[in-house]
Amino acid sequence: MTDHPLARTIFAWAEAEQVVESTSDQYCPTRDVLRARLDGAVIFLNRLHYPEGISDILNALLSEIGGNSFDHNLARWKDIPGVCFAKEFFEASGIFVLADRGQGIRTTLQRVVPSIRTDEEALHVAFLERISGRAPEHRGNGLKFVRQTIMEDGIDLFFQSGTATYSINHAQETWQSAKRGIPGCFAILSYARP
Amino acid sequence: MTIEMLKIGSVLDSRPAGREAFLALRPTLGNNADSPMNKEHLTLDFHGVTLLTPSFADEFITPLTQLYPGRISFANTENITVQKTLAFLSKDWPEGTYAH
Repeated sequence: MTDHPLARTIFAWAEAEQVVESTSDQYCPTRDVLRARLDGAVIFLNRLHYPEGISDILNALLSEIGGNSFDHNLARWKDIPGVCFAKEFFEASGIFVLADRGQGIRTTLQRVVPSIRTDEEALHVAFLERISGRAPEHRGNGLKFVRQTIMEDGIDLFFQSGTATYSINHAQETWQSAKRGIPGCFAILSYARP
Repeated sequence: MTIEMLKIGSVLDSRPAGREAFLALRPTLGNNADSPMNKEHLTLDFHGVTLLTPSFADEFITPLTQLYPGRISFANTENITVQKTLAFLSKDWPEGTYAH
């Protein structure tokens, strides 16, 4: 997944020290722009006769991951607000890439769990425990929902924040550390018809 | 009382939208909505809804489950995202709120 050209392009945008230009059809400065592009993607998926459940589930997963970027980085973006969203899909498979230039999972969660020391620890907490980065608000379910849904529905995931990576391939989970870190978050969802 | 969720939108997918919807709905529930004497039943009808995410539901449905503990039901929940979101969040709701 991470070798796909779209993934490399979006990762480079997320990783760059200085903000680099992204194409206008990928950069979503606001939540509404992302929503409109997700709606457009679902229309195309339905035209390609993706199973209705799968297009709806992809829509929900991308909305949760992208929504997290806006929820947790309000007024705290590294430089520019928003996310980059890229997609490519054919009749039998599709790939969807999202990234932000925000603070990342560790910085967000350290506000409520100061004992978190590493990106890897933070990613575990984000996907496995119901703790919100916006306490005292009672929230923090988004990535747990993403994990549970992907484990059930035959979609693959790669997620990175800082140097920590988490992936689900055919319902097998892998937690690793990457050599090249990013300050914000980077996610790839892919689906292939069985 | 039945709330037709489609009148809020067919795509129900963000925390700000969920919070806004709850704040708009709250006055229509009356001053005694959270009173122990309130026996009113609430039905959330998802007919026509194409997307529901935990972000929206956490801001809209979770507070309703606290106002109407044990007195909420859900109709027309055929959409897969509606089913998955309700099942996922129901772990945090009063027991028996959503049976799946």
